[in-house]
Amino acid sequence: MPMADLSPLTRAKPYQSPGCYDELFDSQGVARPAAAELLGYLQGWPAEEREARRLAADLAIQAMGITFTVYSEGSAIDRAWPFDIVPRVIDACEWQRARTGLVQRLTALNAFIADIYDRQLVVRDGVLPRDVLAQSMNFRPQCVGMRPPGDIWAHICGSDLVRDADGSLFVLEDNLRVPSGVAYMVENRLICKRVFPEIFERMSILPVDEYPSELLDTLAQLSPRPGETPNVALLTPGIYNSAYFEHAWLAGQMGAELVQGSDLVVTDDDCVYTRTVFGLQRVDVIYRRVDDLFLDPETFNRDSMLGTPGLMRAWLKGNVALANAPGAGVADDKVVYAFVPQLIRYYLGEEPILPNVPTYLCMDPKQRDHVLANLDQLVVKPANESGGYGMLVGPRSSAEERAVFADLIRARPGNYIAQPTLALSTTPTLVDGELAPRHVDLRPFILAREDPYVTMGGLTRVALREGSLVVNSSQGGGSKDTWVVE
Amino acid sequence: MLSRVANNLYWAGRYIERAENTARLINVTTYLLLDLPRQTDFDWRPLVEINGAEAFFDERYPEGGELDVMRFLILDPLNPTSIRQSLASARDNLRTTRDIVPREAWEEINELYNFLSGHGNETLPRRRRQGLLDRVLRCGRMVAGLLDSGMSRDAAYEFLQLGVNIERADMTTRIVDVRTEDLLEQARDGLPPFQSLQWLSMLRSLSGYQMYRRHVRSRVSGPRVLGFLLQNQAFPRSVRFCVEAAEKRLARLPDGAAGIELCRRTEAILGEASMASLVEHGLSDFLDHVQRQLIGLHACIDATYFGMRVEAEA
Repeated sequence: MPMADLSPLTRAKPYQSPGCYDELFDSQGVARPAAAELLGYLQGWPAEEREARRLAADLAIQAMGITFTVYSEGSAIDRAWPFDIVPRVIDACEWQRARTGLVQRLTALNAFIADIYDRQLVVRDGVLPRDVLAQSMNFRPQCVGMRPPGDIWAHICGSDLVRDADGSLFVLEDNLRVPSGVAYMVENRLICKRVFPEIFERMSILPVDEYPSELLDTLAQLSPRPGETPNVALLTPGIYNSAYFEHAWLAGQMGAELVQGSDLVVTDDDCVYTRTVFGLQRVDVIYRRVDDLFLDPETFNRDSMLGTPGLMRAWLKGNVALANAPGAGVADDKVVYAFVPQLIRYYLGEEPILPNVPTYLCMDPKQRDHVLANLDQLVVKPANESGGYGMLVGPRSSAEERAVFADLIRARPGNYIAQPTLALSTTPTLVDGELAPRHVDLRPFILAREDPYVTMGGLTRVALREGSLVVNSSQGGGSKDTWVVE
Repeated sequence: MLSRVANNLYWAGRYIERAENTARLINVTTYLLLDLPRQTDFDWRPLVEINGAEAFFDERYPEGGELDVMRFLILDPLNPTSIRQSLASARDNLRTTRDIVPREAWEEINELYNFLSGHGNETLPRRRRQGLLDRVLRCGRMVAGLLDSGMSRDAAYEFLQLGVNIERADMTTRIVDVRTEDLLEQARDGLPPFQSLQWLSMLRSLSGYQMYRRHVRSRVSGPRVLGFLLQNQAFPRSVRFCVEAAEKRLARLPDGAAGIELCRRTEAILGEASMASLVEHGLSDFLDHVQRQLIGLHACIDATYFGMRVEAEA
């Protein structure tokens, strides 16, 4: 069997990826060039040394107070952030290409959103079927006619990248509403520096910690009062939100005020203010981590306790900037996703650099027949759900479940898409002191502005259970530091 | 400084102080019991009365024995002033302000709360109670030290300490009120040696014995103890000291004028009272009067700094 090329003295337990593309080893079991130095260290150490480093990381996480929140039994519990010390390494040349592809994609998506709330040329020109728009749950009629600064609607995007068996990168989804995880990307790097100081000295690992200042720059540019130092606030649903740690962290890093809906008030002048002990203070830009429908009870969900009455009014008047803009989620829809390659060609006249995962649209009769005939091999997803709800994973489903989904698809074909089951790539992960393959994805963050910004790598999420493809932290997933190496 | 954050900090200060004061009170009452003669019919009820929770307590614990009182005061999740719930509230308030208050302070409170939730029941009997209460006091001192040495002296700090000052002043009046009720009765029944013992216990419950001895170099007497706890301007747990401290904090905050005026009025009321005559009659009414002043002060702070949301929503 192919295995890592090591001298007999330092030979570790053989590492064998289960027939998938592996991030650090090639198909012959030889370290990929960008990862060779790292693997030299890791495999050169005895298992006890690797365990000692893992313990050091656990202690660092505790000491640094890196947590995520689980809400259970009526109270919020902070759990230590699950972290694997073995970094995932990406070659800088490959990343450069991915960055260009991500920027291309977000540029097209922003052009699409602006068009949708304007003249809808994309529909008129027959690129996007009218039905797709008609059934979109994230289309906000209240936003029609709005022109946010620079015609940018989605300022912050977290796209999920995966690899297939031959190692090509695909975009699995674009998160344009309230993508999270970036705080952990930065904190993971700090942990890694504590745990592997000697490796950082030897390797040229590109830094990730400038994200908060890049984000602040992006937000500050949106201020409706140019020339004055803008007041930027981060709007959080509060301590019970699973991403509260990140909200507090980002606010602290940017020096922005961390606010809840009840801290804000919109007065008769249609401007937004924070209620402070010194009186009302004007807010220029709000990085909101609250979903559209909870932003403003005057406009959306009347029962929302998280929002601020009048916020939409202030935004529509241009007196406050919201990032991401309300309604940006219209491009964050699994059916629209299937059209992104066409949207790139339509708006930019370019060929997509990063491909989509092949996607079957059940609204198309021919594709629907294919899906119905191959349910046992496909993953079926509803258009407007996220977080893995309402999905069918064909290879692991029962005949009854497939029958239920077949009925659902026939009843509302426009609401479903299907994709082949992906063989996510693996990367070495520490299990009982040895390196074992575990599946990963990657979430880079892209900031849309005149000179777009892409994080160096992103947040690598790893399914810690053997064979599992579920990378969510609430379901046994963890994360890794991601090294873009020159 | 957001009004919500200021409000959270103020209440965090109050809850932290309340947990500590409740522990002090139970602690010293337990000690006092050991010193009293066997036949004295010792009553744990005043401890419940201090927070005015008699009706709620009777409903929850019809038997009303010592362990019930302890469970009610230390652990009961339905009693909002129990030590455990005070800590839970302090913890929740500090969670929302984790960018402002030193993280170690939150961790101290969180750890103690988790301990009470997990092992509280085992520590209720007298033999182990002492250790538990000492732990609560140590936690309180630790948090006070962390805040003192780790927090910038800005508006956030002033609001937190304002909560501490007002809660402490309030608890001191309550402790004096409840403990003097039976003391004064006993004075009429004539139980002289134990009477001074009980005055001493009141001083101890407020960590005031040592300082009292330094200030008052004569025999322990009712009026002197009362004067020390209500009027002394140097002892940090006396009501007057706390109100003056609150006044100084308000002077450093915007729009403090109304609150400062209320503080000065309370200080005058305290300063002008004659302890010797209050011991004879009217102490309870006087303490009620002081408490109402403190409630007024709280309402003023609430309206000046935290009340903006009410105004805008109305």
